[in-house]
Amino acid sequence: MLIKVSSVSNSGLKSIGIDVEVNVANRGLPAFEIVGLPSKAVDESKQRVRTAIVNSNIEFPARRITVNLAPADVPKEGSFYDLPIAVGILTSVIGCKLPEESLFFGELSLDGTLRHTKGALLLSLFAREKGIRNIFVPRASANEAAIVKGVNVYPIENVSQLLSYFMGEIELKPAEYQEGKDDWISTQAEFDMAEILGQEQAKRAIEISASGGHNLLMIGSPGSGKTMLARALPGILPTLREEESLEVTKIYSVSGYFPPEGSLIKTRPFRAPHHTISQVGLIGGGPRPQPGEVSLAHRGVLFLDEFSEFPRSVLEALRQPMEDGYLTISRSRERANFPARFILIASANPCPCGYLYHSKRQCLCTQREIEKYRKRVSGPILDRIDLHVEVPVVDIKELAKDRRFKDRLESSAQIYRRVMKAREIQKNRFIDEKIHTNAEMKNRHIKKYCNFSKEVKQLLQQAGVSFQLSARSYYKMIKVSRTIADLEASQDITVSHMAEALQYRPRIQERVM
Amino acid sequence: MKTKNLEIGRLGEAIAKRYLQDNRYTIVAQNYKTKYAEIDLIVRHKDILVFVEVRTRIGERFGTPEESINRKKINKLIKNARGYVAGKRYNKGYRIDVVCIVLDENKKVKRIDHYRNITF
Amino acid sequence: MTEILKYKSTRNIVKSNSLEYPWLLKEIDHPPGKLYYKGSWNSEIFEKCLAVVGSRRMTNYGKCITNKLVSEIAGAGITIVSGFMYGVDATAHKAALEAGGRTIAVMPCGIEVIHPEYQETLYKEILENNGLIISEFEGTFPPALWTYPRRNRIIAGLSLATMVIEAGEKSGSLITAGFARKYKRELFAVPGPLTSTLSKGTLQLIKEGASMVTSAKDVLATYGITNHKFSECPLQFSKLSKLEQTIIKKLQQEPMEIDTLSRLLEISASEIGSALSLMQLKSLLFEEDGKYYVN
Repeated sequence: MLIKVSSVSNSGLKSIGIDVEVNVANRGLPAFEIVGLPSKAVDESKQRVRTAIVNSNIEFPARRITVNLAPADVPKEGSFYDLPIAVGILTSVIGCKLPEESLFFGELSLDGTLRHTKGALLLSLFAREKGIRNIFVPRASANEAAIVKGVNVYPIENVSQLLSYFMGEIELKPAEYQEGKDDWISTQAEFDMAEILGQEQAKRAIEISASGGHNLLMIGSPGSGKTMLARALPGILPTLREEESLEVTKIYSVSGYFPPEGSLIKTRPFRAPHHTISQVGLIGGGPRPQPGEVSLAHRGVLFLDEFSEFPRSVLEALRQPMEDGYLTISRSRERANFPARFILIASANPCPCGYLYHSKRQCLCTQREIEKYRKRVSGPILDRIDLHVEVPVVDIKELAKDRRFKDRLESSAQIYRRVMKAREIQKNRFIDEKIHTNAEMKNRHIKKYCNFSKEVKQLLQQAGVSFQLSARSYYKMIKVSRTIADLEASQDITVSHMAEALQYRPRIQERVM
Repeated sequence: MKTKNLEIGRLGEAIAKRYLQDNRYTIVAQNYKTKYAEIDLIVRHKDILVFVEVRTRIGERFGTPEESINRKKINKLIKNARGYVAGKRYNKGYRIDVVCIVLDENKKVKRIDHYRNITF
Repeated sequence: MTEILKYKSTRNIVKSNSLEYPWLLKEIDHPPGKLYYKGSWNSEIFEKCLAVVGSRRMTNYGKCITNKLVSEIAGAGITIVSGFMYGVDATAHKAALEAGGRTIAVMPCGIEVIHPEYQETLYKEILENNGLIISEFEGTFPPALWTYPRRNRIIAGLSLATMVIEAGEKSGSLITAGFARKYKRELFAVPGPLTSTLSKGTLQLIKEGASMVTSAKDVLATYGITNHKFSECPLQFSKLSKLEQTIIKKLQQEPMEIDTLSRLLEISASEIGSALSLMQLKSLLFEEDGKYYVN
């Protein structure tokens, strides 16, 4: 008897429909075979399915079972074919009818229960797209799949429960639709901005970065608080918009970093990979393209501490995603597109020993070492960083004593409000564009949306000469000043906005003698 | 020595036959000889034809009967079963079982185990 | 490599018996028998020379002072002689060139070797601005520990006076100072903060009788230049905004970072930053390693 069960195959962030054809033959020596380019994980499904069925107190048919995953020429990956295969075998043995318009998806445990399986969101998105009404997923993945409206997501506990449902013995209730709620839940940051003493300029830079989505480079000695500043950033980032939420959740769903029972991701991701990361780890890749850290940081923050310690080849690979906001990973068998629109926060020491410009300690590096160190990060990468800021060492003990100063410290919540306002302005500005933030503006957007007077233009030209700004820096300054103006809810960019933006110009090159 | 082993084998087959009959299997053939080898027992259970290999040992000091079934032996069993099925033009389900029998010094049955469908 | 070849054609030698040989250098104990040089040899360049030496690990203060003093002195027509090392040496060469003055680099190696090699731009600039690269060593002779003191004796020997800016204890700059004293030349030392290790050498020199430099005038007097007008435009305080005035007053007391300014004045970093950028563009201030200085 031949049974057809529908499921999907995920490649990158795309899904295609897969028919799991199960044939249980009455003739021949009993056997269990899977065809249709199964990977090792799919092939091992045989053992899981058999044991899970036996452990659910159902007799496993001693027949010749052939499973075909059609279309047969697409390589199949993952453990989620367990459920469709088991369903196929059980229905053919018991002879009950399968519910129509249904997709099955999930990994089986040996005891017959279903485990949290990555990629459930892609399944329900696929179902909605194809107009398939019902999907059956593991209970732990149901919330994730239920993000999508208009699809009945049935959370399945174990094999016997599903079987009872097929036999009409019990009813199953679809999982509740998980809608994005708009309440004020800012990302939990490790530090509040008010905990950071001093660093007024760096804090301001972080605020601008959060408001306009600008990349930021912090240069400072060890212990100056670069890492603390970066870790405080999530606390002032706006929550994700609905469509952004879905994009992020999708990436986490396929990457397997999604927690069981988890639902729509509403907070912006904060990724801080160590500098020993490989290129594939950062960018993504592998024989079956997997998203890397840049994609996991999509719509969030990618924090690269010790920026200049990252291998150059790894950093160079950042160029395309930083420019385009997505990247294509091509492998011989398949290619995948992953979005990667993130705020890059980089931090670096000013020299190899770290104590150059330090007020109390002496730098032991020679000029040559410093120069070599600076050249580790290439110009094109630095060019893509809008904000450059120095983080001096602060005498925290002294500042902590000063009550008056402490009273003036702003909390993350206060800054958050300003950031939200600036984001709101940008949202309205780019309502007809595909971009969300000022940092994403291309030259034509700049021409369209950045109005400034003659004086501002003169100032910029003068600065271009005095500070030796490159053509790219010139545009960066305009983008940054646009954000500064937005923070003040100003329609036009004024001289003072532009003058402040100039504070964040790149300075590394000019320092090299 | 050789004859003694054969003797034990025959004894085991007889025990297995009785055991299977007690378990409502119908005996189809015993010591069926194909061109290359011999099938210890062929029985029928409901509509499934079962090829049975009987393994007998006196004591388990020199290894259990189960241990004597290796991949090579299983492949041989499958080949024999296929040969039989083809020769008889049988086209329904069939399977291969093993019955392991351990005897004590007095040739009394110490244990008897029936492994169904070993090729699966 | 091609760059080196380009200058090779202008390479020349001046022997100690030549008329063109700098007469001041002849006065020292063991003057070099011949000088290899690059650039256009012109005896006039040796007339009024000042040796400027100092630490390789120059502080911000040192950099600032070197820039200020050297540009004023070189602007007054004095040739700046130094050792082409990074730190004070290189800053002095650069400041001299920027002020439109002339400078002579005395190499511790053959003149074909650019040492340290990453200062190739400076090397070319010196040659392009009527400066000289000289050495007593031939061609591609590599630098060695013993060549540095020998080079220092030429630096001191060429110059009427030697000015030391920032020197640690037992540093090479003190060797140069020692030669200057030995050759009975004027010796200047620039005072620095007592706390800095790089002031130990210079303060020691002052204690031992070197003249203390507090402005370029002190040095220029030695060369008989007393009425030189510095192209300094006095700060028109009244034309500045109130914030700008406050900032300048603060910075005149002590150079500081933007964060410190913001804290002291209780004005947001954004406002201060904006003001500082504008003031910098108006050349009221300049920034060095994160700190702002009044021009």
